[in-house]
Amino acid sequence: MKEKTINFLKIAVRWVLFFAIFAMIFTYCSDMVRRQDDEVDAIYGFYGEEENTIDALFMGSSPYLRGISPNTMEANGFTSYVRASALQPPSVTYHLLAESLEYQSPELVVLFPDNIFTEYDYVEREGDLRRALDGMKISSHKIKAVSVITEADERQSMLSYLFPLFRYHDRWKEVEWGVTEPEPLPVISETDGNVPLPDTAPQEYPENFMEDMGEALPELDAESAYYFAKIIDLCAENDIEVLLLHLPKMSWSYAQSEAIANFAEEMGIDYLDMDVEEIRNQLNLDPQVDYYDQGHMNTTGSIKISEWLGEYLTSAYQLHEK
Amino acid sequence: MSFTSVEFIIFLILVMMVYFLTPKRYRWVALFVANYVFYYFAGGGYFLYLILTTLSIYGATMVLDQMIGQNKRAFAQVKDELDREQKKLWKANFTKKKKKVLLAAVLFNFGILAVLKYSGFVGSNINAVFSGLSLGISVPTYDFLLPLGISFYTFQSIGYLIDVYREKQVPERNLAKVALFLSFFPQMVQGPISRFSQLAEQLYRPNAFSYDRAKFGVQLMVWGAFKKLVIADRARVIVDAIFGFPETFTGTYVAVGALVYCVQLYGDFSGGIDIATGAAQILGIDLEKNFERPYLATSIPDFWRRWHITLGAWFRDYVFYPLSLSKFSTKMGKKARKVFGNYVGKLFPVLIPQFIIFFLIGVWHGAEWKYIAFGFYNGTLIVLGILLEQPLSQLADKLGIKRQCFSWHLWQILRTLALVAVGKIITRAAGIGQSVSMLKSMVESWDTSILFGDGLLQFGLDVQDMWVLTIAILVLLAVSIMQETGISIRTTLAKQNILFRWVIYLIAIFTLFIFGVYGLEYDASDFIYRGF
Repeated sequence: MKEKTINFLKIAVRWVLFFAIFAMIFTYCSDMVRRQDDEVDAIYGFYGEEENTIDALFMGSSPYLRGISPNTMEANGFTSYVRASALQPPSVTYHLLAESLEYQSPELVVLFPDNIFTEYDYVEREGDLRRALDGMKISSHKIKAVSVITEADERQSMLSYLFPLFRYHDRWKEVEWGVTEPEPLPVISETDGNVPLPDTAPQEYPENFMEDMGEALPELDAESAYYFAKIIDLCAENDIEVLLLHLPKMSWSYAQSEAIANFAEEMGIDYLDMDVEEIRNQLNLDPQVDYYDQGHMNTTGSIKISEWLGEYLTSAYQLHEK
Repeated sequence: MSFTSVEFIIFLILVMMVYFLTPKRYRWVALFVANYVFYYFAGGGYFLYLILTTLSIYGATMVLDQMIGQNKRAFAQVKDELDREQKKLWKANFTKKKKKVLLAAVLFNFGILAVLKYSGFVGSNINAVFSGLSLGISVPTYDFLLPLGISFYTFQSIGYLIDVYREKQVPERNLAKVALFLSFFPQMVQGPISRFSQLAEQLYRPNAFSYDRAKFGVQLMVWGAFKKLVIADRARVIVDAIFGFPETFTGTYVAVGALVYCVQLYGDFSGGIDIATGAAQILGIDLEKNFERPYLATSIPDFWRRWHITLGAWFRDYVFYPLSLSKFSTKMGKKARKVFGNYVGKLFPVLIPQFIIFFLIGVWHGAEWKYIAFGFYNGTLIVLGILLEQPLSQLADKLGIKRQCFSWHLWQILRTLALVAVGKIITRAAGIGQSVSMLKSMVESWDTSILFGDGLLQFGLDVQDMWVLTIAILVLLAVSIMQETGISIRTTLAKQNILFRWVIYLIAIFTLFIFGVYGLEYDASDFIYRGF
C-alpha cells in the first residue's frame, strides 16, 4: 500500500512538472505567433489598471478606440478606460463589460450606439472579433462571449479563442524563432485603451447633414437591441449610469439619431449625439483637419472631443476621482 | 466528432473515466453505451442500419447455434450406426441447411451495403445504357449518404457470422454484447476489421487501468495525429493541385503527384488507425494491426499483406480460401493443366480467386468505374506476379543478378512503390479517362528539371511547408526502417532517461500544435477511408 502511494505520488509530481514545462513552452509559442495588434494590446492593458480606480468605462467600436482620449479627460478630475475594438458586436461588448466589472466599479458606462441597427455578421468578421477577444483573459465571461460566436459560426472553435496558438499556429513561418524575443501582451495601456490615429483625411459634411428630411426611422437589429438591453440591465444591477454616446462622423443621419434617442428614452437612459449642430459648434471641429476618415477622429479631433466630453461628463454625472 | 478533434479527446477522457470507475461487472455496459453515444455524435444519428445489422447477425447466429446444437445431439444418437459415406452425406445435408441461414443474413447485410453504396452507380450506368440505346426509359437513381463505418462493421459482422457458420466460433448469446462487438467506437471511422475471436473477449472482460498501457496508447495517438495532420494534410495540398489541374501539371508532375498521394493516403489512413489503436489501448484493448510499413514491400502481394491487413485477411479467409478450395476451382485447374501445361495449370486454382479478391477489394473502395479499374489493375499485377515469378527468377539467375543483397532489395521496394503509385493514379484521378491521360503525359513529357528551382513550389505549399513535409516524411521513413529492423520505438523510448523522454514528448506535442494542418478552413473529419 505504501509503495503504491509513493508510486502514485511520483507519477503525480512528474505530471505536475511536465505540465508546468508544457505551459511555459505553450505560453512562449503563443506569444511568438500572436498577432501584434494595438487594439488587442489596448483591451488587455485594462488588466494593468489598479482595481476599482476607473470612474467611466467606454465600451464599443473603433470610433471610441480612436476618438476617446482618457488621458485628455483626466484633467477634468476623473479616470476612464476605453475597452473598444473595431466593429465590436454588442454581444461581445456585453460580456466584455461584465468581465470589466469584476475588476472595476465605474460610476458611468458610455456605450457606442451606432451598431444597434446592424445585424452582426459573425462569419465575415472573425478578424474584428479576435481583436476584441484575444486581449481578454480566460474567464467565464470570455467563454460566454465565444459561445455566441461559435454558435453563429460553426467553423469557429472555442479552443482557438481561448488558446490563440491554435488559431495563429500557421504564423510560425513569419516568426524568427530564437532570434526575436516573444512579445507578451502589454500589461499596461499608457493611453488607457485609446489608440489615436495621427493621419488626416479632409472631409466634407454631406448635403443636408443631420437635417430632418422626413425619412422613416431605421429599425433596430433585434439581437443588438437585446444585448444593449442586457448591458443596461447589468449596469442597473451594479448601480451604474449609462450614456449612449454617438461620436462625430460623416455618415450619420437625423433619422438614425432619432431612432437611438427613442430607444434611450424607452430604456430610461441618456443619449448624447455629438453630431447635433449645437454640440458640433461647441466642439469646434474642422472637417479638413480633425478627421482620419469618414467615421474616425484623428489625434487632433480626438483631443478636441475629449476635452469637451471631459467637461460635459464632469458636469452631467458628477464623476469623482477614486 | 473526428479523431483529430478536441471533442474526441474530451470524449475519450470521459469514456476512460467512466469505464474505469464503473464496477468491473458492468464495464462492458459502459463501453456499449459509449459506442452508441459516439455513433450518435460522429455518425449523424444513422443508428438504424447499425441496429439492423446487429439484429440480423444476432438472429442468424442464434438460429445457427440452435441448429448446430440440435444437429450435434441428433448426430450423437445415430453416429455409430452410420458408415463413412452416410456421415459425409449427413454433414453435407446439414451444411446445406446452415447455408440457407448464412446466405439470408449475408444477402441482407451486403444488400444494405450494396443499396447504400452502389445503387446510385448501378442505376446511373443502366440509365447510360438505356440512353445510348435511345430507349427513352430510365430507372430511378438514389445517392444515399453512407452511414459511418458501414463498410467496416458489415465486413466485421459477416466475418463473425461465417465463423459461427463454420463452427469455429461459439456465438455470443447476449444481444447487447454482440452490439458492443459490432460498434466499438475507435473502429467505427475506418477500421480495422476485427475478428470476434480476437476482439470480443477483450471488450467483455473488465480491463484494469494500466498507466503504462495508457501512456503507450497516448503516444500512438500522437504519432497517428502527426501522420495525419503534419504529413497527410500537408501532402494533400500538392495532390489536390496536381490531380485538380491535370492539364497544367503533366509529365513528371504526375509522378510527383502519385508519390505524394501514396504518402498522403498512408499518413491519413494509418494515422487514423494509430489513433484508433491508441484509444483502444488506453481502455486495455488491443486492436488488430492494419499496416506494416507497406511502402517497404518488395512485391505487390507483399504490399497487400502490409496494407489494410485486416481487409486483405478478411478476403483471404472468407473469399479466397473457399474459392480456391472449391470443387469448381479444382476442376478448372485440371482443365487448365491440359490447355496451358503443368506450370500454369498448377497455379490456376490460385490465380482466379486471387484475381477475384483483388477485383472485390477495388470495388470495396467505392462505386465508380475507376475503383473497378483499380481492382483489375491489382488483380492483373498479382496474377502476372505469380505467373512470372519462376521465369523471372530463372532469368535473373542466368544473368547472374545477385538477389540476396541490399541493392536488389532496394530495387524490389522501388519497383513495388512505382507499381503501387500507378494504382494510386487510377484511384485519385477524376476518372479512368483522366488517369489514362495523366499516365500518358507522364511517359511522353518526362522532365526532371521541374524537381529543381521553383518547380515544386507551384502547388500552394511554400518553401517552409515543403521543408516541414520533407523532414516529416524522413522521420516517418526513419521510424519505419527502425520498426522493420525489429526496433519498438515506444519500448525503446520507455527505457530512456526521463529528461530525454520529456524532450521527445514535448517536441512531438508542439510539432503537432505548430506544424499540424488544422484550423478554420480545415475539415478535421475528412479522413479519406472514412468515405469507404
